[in-house]
Amino acid sequence: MNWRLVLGLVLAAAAVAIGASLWRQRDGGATPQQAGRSDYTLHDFQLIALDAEGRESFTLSAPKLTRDPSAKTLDLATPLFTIPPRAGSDGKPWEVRSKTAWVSAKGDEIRLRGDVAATSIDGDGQPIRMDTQQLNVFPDAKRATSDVAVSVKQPGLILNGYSMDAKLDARLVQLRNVKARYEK
Amino acid sequence: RTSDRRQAIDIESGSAVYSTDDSRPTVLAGGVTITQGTLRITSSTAEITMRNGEAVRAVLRGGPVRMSQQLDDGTPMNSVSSTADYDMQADVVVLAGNVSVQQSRGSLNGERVTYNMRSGQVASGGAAGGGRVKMRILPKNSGTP
Repeated sequence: MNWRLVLGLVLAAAAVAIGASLWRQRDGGATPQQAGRSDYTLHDFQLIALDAEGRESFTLSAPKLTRDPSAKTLDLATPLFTIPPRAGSDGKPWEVRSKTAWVSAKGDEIRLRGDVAATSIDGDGQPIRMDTQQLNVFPDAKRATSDVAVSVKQPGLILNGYSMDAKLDARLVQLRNVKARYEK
Repeated sequence: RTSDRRQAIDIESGSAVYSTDDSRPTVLAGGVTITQGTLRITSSTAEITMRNGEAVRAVLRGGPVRMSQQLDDGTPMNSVSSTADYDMQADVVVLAGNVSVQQSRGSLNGERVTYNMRSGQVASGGAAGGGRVKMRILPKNSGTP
């Protein structure tokens, strides 16, 4: 057999093998996320998130935060979120606590899970409190939703319902399948 | 019963748009049931006005509005109307639109009837602001020959 033909075949095989190896390593090996590790972790911190116009979107303090490097989302333990009223409105800030929370990459959605409690003061200075196991907060839109049972309490009133959609600044809460008790 | 007005007011409805401050009423829809002691009202919609953490007024519409209550003497009062405007501070309900009130003593029909829960008194026609009234008072022992 012609030695030139053999040499050519060997070189071609080598080229294919090298190419395949380079192709497998193109994404630089396992990212931290694939290795199940966040790229950074904060302990006992306070974070002020700004919206696109540079206004405060929310303030967050928590004992622990971990960041998902690929999705750029945050995971939090026992967070406290403070959501300011819209600039120029007569609303009051809302404080929201829960067992855990997740914050989207752009910081425009917060998912709170486990013993969620949202508290504020209404226009008449009366306290208001919402309790649920799941709350989705959209800080820039000043809105909060929930697909599970929610209990809204104010002095003299307990309101229970489902499928909540709350306009935080306008202080309007929409609910379905409602049971309310007005105390005398 | 006069004791009804010291009871809590329980409300069930298909949906609610609740305003956390007193400037706007809470709007209930999808079928509303209000109970307060022996008082029971059902309607299609209701608007509850609060003041300083207390419900002070309920305006009920549609359906029609059906109301029932037991009076202090144990006899029942039932009514049907298009609307009912319940002033929870004065304990007065104004029924309007094809009103029919049934009590053990008799029945009363008109366009507008005012029912005072404290006294159990029912005012209608000119006394209640309008419309002719038809009243039927049953004889004392209507059962015996």
